[in-house]
Amino acid sequence: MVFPTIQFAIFFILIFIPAIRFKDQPKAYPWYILLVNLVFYSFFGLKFLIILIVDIIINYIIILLLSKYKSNKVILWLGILINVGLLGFFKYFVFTTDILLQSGILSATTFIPTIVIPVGISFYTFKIISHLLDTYRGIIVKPKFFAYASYVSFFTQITAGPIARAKEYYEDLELPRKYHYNLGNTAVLILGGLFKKLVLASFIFNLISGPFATPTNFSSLDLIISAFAYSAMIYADFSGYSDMSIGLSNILGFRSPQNFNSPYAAIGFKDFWSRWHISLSSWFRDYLYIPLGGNRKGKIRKYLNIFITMFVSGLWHGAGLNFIVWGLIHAVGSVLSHLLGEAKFIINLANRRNLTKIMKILAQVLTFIVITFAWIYFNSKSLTTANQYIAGIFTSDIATNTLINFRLIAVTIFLIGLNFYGSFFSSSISKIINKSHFVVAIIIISVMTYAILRLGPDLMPPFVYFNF
Amino acid sequence: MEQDNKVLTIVIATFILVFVTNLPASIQEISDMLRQTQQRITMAEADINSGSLMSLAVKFKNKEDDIWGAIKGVKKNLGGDTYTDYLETDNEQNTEEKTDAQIQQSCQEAEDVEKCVEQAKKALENQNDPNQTEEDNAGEKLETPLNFLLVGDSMMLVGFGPNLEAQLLNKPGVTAYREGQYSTGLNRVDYYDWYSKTDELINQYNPDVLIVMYGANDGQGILDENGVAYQLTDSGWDEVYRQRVYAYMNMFTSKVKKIYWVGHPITISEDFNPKFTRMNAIYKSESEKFENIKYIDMWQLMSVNGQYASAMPDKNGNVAIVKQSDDVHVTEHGGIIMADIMIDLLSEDINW
Repeated sequence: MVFPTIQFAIFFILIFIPAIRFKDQPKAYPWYILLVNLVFYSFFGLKFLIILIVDIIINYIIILLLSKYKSNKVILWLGILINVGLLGFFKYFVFTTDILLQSGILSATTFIPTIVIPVGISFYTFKIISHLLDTYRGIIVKPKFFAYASYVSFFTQITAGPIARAKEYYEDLELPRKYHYNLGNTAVLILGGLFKKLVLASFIFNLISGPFATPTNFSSLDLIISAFAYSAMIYADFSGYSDMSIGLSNILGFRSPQNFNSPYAAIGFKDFWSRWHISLSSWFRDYLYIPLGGNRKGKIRKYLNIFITMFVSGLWHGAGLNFIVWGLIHAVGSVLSHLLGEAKFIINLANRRNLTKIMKILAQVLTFIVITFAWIYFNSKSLTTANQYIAGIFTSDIATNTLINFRLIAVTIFLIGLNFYGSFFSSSISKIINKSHFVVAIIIISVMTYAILRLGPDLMPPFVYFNF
Repeated sequence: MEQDNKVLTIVIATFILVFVTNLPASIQEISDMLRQTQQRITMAEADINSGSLMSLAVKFKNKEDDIWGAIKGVKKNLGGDTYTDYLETDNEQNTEEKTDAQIQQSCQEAEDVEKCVEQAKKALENQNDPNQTEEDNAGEKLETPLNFLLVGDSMMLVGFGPNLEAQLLNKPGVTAYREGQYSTGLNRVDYYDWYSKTDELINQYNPDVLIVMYGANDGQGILDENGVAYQLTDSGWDEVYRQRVYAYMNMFTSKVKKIYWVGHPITISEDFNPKFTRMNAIYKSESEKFENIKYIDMWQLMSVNGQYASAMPDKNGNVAIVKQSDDVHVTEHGGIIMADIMIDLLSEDINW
């Protein structure tokens, strides 16, 4: 059950009515939210729910131990290894099995069980690990079990993030007066997210799935258009889902971390990762980069830590050589980004006023092009196909262009433009809703929703980040 | 609290607006959610007295659909009864009674009408001659240049479809176009009409060879041409689905030189295996009614000694897992193997 469906709409109406009643009851509300979370997750399958519950119980026991035996690194590492091991098992089972089969360690006649990756395991495992580390560091005191369970399983975030921090979650959960959200802002978040995901991302997906599947069948221009369109698409898909998640969390009384901040306006990889999937990049910063030593152990160690952090981030995204390459591109890019940012000649150049604007634009364009190049590896089904795609951009046997489509190009430019002017649009619409009479606001929101649903496809492709 | 009440009011009002303006689709979706198959509620103009308020609403709705479609740049998938014109009638089941006039009518839109008529007549003769073998009917091989059209459900979108397309495109003189849609098939034409869509694609791309793969999403309740529902467990389900398959074959047999109907590979799923076995049997039996339609028994071809295998070697000897965790879709490696198999089988009929 995903957000933009009639099933979810009915589900949300049904759970929101009691939620309004329970919201101001700090003792009852956590239980209610936990119940809602478990019911929501059960739609994905009972076996997934059982895995989630067992995972929660095991990790809560570890938290109890960490709370009792403070600063015990053995318990901490045990907890981290259990969670990383579980995540790695599910995500890398097929990849590892293929390697063992190809090397002959496993024979083709060996029975290989079917392993289904639990929905959202990448996201809720990271929440669990961050909680373990925050407990170890004394940032969080021992929570009650149902509060912990509701944090891990929070239904608005479990399938595709954002990866919220436990401290803020518990604060919001226990406050008698819940987070006061702005109606206009929340409506814009949800409707804007729906529009990006349902209308724009779906539209692009249907047109560019061909080039990424069989790049040798498309001209160089088609491949270039398709690559930029994919950059736009993944932004719309993921930020759209995140926006809906944040809006729904707000309505239920929870703050939710911002996950995207005009990522394609970034200058350099360092800046990009401060704007793209922010909850993930900040997770890696706090729970991998800093524990590795961060920038406290000299320059070489700093760059090595950056490299390792970005490379691991690539592995988190998927099991496959193409994801490893994607991770490597970002790792190298991030290190270069830091190096250039610290280079004196760059700083001097940037300080010359007459060059600042030009340099900024050039840097943004260059960053966007390199990020788009990296996305080709991210979205290709294999390393071979990705390399074919890249080669095809420079030389293709196909002369006919099929993707010079006004709508595709317009939507791509629009989505990239949102990175620069999106906040203007959203704040304008928000103001209109907030200042209107309530009946007018109902009409505006209803009509906008109807238009979005009509502009959306009859058949909706899957969320990109749902696979993680 | 006040804010929450406002939100609730907005959500309910929006829900009502969307529900009411899309009443048939909304009711269908809710009935699907409740896992019940009931008679479709159609807003076909023919079912409604002209001049009534409902008929005006239907006309307005259709016009509105056209406007949204124009904005999106897509044609509305008709989602209706296209296939009913091509169902196997009692007369056709008794093929001796099929007249020349009926053959002419079914071939009237074929590119080569004479050849179509000849093939149709040959097919009739073969049906009456149980000793006829496929080798007898083999005929001449197709020659390049050839244009292929690949259509189907998600199996055509990922794994098998893209790899087959890529391998075809490596052949000199071969062009190919592929189109697949998640969650579609020949059953739920109210959701996506592959009859209309295939017709549209054939008219657009003028293929010589059509390769199809359906069925993964067809194992659910089905409606016959009169709107009567059959659950998968009902004895009438197979006959209704058989008619759907026959109609599809009948609709396109005269419009292309050759059709390859790819059956489902073996799975380990206790849920899908019985369904696929039934469907594959239907695809096989119906394809035998048409001389230019060949059933591809992927079930056998993707098994090892008749059994399911988690991993298989490709033609280079690389061994890897062939099925994704859903037991239906193939992995990239599985897709390569299936594509290799198809190319080998195509090579029996085509001079590349």
